[in-house]
Amino acid sequence: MQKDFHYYATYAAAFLAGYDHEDSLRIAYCAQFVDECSASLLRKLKAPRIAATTQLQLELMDANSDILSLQDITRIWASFHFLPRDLYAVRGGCTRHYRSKFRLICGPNGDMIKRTVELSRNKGAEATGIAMHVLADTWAHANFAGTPSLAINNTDYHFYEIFPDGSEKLIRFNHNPISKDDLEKSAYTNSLYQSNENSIMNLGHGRAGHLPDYSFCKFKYLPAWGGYKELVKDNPSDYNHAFRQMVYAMRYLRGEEKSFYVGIYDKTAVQDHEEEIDSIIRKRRTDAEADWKAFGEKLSGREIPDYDINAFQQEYMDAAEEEKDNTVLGRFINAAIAQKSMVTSCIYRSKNMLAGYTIDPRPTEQIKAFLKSAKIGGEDL
Amino acid sequence: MSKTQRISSFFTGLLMMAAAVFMTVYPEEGYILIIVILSLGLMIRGIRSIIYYITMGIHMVGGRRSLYSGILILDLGLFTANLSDVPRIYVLLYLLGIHLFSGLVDMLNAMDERKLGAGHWRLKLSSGIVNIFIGLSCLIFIRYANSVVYIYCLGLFYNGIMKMVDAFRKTSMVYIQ
Repeated sequence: MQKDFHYYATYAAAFLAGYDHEDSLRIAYCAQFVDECSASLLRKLKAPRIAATTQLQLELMDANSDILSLQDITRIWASFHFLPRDLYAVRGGCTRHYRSKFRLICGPNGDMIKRTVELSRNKGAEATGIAMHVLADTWAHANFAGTPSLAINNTDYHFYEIFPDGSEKLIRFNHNPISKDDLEKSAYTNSLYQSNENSIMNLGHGRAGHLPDYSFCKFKYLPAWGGYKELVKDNPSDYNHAFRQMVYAMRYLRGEEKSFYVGIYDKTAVQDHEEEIDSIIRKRRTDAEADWKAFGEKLSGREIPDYDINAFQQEYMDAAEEEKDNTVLGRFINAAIAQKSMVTSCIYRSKNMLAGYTIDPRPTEQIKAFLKSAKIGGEDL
Repeated sequence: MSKTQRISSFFTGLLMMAAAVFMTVYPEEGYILIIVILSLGLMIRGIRSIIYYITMGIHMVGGRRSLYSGILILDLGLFTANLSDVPRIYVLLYLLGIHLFSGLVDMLNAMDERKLGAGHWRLKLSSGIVNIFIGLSCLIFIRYANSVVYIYCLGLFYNGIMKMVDAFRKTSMVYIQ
């Protein structure tokens, strides 16, 4: 998903769930910050790089294709952007390596998203923001895996856009990094075909371009893992579900609901705004920031400031070492470490080595102690 | 290009240039060395592709591509290995055939990439044209065995330089985040 949903739509969902303006802004900021918090940024902040929730294009270009680098990539992308749906999915007649990658396929309403939401309870707005980013992405990025894999993430020429009137049009992909997607001609950009299984071009939904991130788009294609069965990705329906599930999840995180169950979507808070939300989602344009912003401002009656990546950086850098955990970014970093630890631990315990070895997560305290000793020893993590 | 790919491209180019120089200085031994390296490289690539198909590609839409390419490349590698005991001129013809074919493929790929808007189509096109020119020149001078060797070495040297240039070229790639 893009900033329009992660920032502005999350704000609206938070407000509808009962958070006030300030908390909703904080949650929305942190939800979007998951797409910005790279190792390069953390290095600038002198923060633990283990808390990275994304990787910049340059960082990925510089990454090697050895096992450790691939595990590092998988840890980040599977934890925050392509949360696996079922780590114990059954796939017969295949090698262990293939099965490991197959089990990392992202999708909504799996056991992992339940753990993610429950993990962020009583941990503050920052943890809530991270959980909402992860939750939203399970809908948008469904059917792709957060690990480089040609055999899982590849697509081919059989790729059609389905319009609201039922007609279909063959999608033409190009690889020009400068050209914008042309909605009129159904001409979109995607990543280059790379026959190397572990190429970063085969990470996530690169081979489907930005289509999973466009809320209006309904398309069908042959996923590489699908055995030649056509799969229809209905983004308008998925985004609607994502929004409602975020509202429900945040009501749980506020304490209004006793438990969080997958497959449940808010009906009450959203019901007066169903049509408006649906029309924003179905409007055909690449960027819905303006519409979501207007909707959020209408709900709260307050202005939503433009997203500013630098908003809390100075606070973090100026804080004393023992006070950093009490800053916004400090809490974000701790929540990110906890999330990454939980997901990689679950992946490891399912006997899947794609995210590497992991320690038993009583995460934040143990990891911080480990980082502190590493720093004393001269290693900067 | 990733760091690993750049390093690999640089050293491949260096190796090609060294092979070209070696063949020029020792034309008798040089071409055997080329055949050995080429056949080994092709066989390893072919086997890797077949192994990939068996372990991963068999479950993948379009995965048979890796099986077919693996079998073809392995066959080519085995055939290449068998050329060591035939008269030199036939070996050179075979190598030239590979150059001509590779040049044609480069040109077709360049045309494709131009249509898709990928950045480096001009470099690929020029490489394809040079490969074809080298191949045709060798055919024209085929009666003069030493001239053919020197023209071939020139082509190999040029390709080596292009590989090294590739290693330092800025690549703007489409990456969907």
